[in-house]
Amino acid sequence: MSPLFDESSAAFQDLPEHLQDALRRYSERRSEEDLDAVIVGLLADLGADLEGEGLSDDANFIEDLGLDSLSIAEFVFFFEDVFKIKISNETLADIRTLGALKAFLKSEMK
Amino acid sequence: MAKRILVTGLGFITCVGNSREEVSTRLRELKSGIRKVDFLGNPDLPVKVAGNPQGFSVNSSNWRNWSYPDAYSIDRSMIRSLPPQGVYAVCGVEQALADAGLEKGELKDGATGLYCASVGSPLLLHENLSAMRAAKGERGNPMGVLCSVAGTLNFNLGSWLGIRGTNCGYVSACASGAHAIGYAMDDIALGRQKRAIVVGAEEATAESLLPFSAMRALSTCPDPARASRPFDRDRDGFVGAGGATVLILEEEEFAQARGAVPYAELAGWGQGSDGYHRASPHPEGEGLAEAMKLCLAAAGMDVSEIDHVSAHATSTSAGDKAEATAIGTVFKDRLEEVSVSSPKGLTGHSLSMAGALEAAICCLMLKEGFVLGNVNLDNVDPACSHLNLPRRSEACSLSSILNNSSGFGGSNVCNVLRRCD
Repeated sequence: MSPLFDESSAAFQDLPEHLQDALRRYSERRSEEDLDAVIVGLLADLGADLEGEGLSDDANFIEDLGLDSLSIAEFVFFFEDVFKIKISNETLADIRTLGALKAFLKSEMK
Repeated sequence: MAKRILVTGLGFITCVGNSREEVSTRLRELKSGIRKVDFLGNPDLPVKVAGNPQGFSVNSSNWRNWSYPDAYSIDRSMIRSLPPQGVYAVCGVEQALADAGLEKGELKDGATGLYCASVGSPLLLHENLSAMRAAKGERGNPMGVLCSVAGTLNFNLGSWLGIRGTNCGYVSACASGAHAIGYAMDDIALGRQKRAIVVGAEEATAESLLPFSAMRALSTCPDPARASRPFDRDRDGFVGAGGATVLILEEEEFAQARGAVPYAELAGWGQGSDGYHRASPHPEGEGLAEAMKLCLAAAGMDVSEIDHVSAHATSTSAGDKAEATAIGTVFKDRLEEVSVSSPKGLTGHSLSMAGALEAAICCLMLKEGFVLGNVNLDNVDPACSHLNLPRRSEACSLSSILNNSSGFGGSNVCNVLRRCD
């Protein structure tokens, strides 16, 4: 399989090492678990509230994870920049939960 | 009866120290905070020195690379929308609140205003706009505006502190810090606010400072301890500096009701503009002289009541001469009795923050009883020789200090601080 992303991109280079490793693992294995690890690691990096029930697929970015609309935009743009995919504003507006984000990413990276 | 305005808390994140005690000690001992810098990894640059707070590493465009002293904690959700000087400012505010005996929760009363002076972040503006251009406008950092434009401190600090009163910023270049103090005083004097948090903060990066080199305004002296020399015949420009200074101002009765101990009283302020040139001061310092006179009038004070002038001391030939002339115009036959000094020889010039830093230093002089000396003053510029310029810092009981600030466009601001007995 060809890598999912370009390691020389600024979006990747700017990440802390543990997130770079998580991305590499996901790129190699493409497993749901590895994608979860990337998402959770990035949410923590953005200062999301990951205590309690925050990590279920139903977790709402704003209500459960304490992100604001700008942080959600940062979060989604990260996936655009690293994986070179396009997320329209309309799609972005519909991605309100972790589950919706995961479903979108999986469909984009088939 | 007019309301008295007291300074009840100070916070310092500066190249001469990150606490009141450290700053005071360095000022008394005349120990410079200016250090060698390596801008853009280019050893051929003529500018070799600057003043950066120690214990911080925030001059990267990537917030993930930033570090700051363990004594402070900044939420990850906030740090991404901060400029480098925002990190200094958050730490400075924490320090000033602790110094004033205030909790953050007390600032949500609607009686507290926030007054910030900063040019924004040239580093992050450049970074974010370059990335946007590279993406042909199709992508930008969602935090790009919040972390870089001139209002960045108001956006971030105002929401962090829960400010419900005044929240505004000042951009009059090197007079900004003094303007922030002045308008905060007006809000209290007019009864609009009981308390003000005044913040002056700047980054000291290649992007923020080297544009002044293009104007030939920066010193090219490579010796950190000797480069900044206001009023000296052989000065060759100013030394850029960054950091944050925070002052807590409170209306007297409001402060007394909670048992606050004041550093000093801010007795009045005034401003006067040159109407002369976009960068150079009026040769006779007309606007600054007017600012000093209006300041004294606002305080209801006579020049005979002033025993020290904290000079703006740009450290450029034109700036120092204009200020020396203005001081001569105002103090006339009292020039021998009134000492004049500036901390810029030790601190460098922190641009928008300078007015706040220098007012805070005036508070230290009044409270602790010392007069600051002029460092690196080996040969006084003949144009400044009529001033009483002490060389050493000495114990001295000062009663009132007139504090000058001047910015591009001939914007001059002056405030007067009085000892509280």
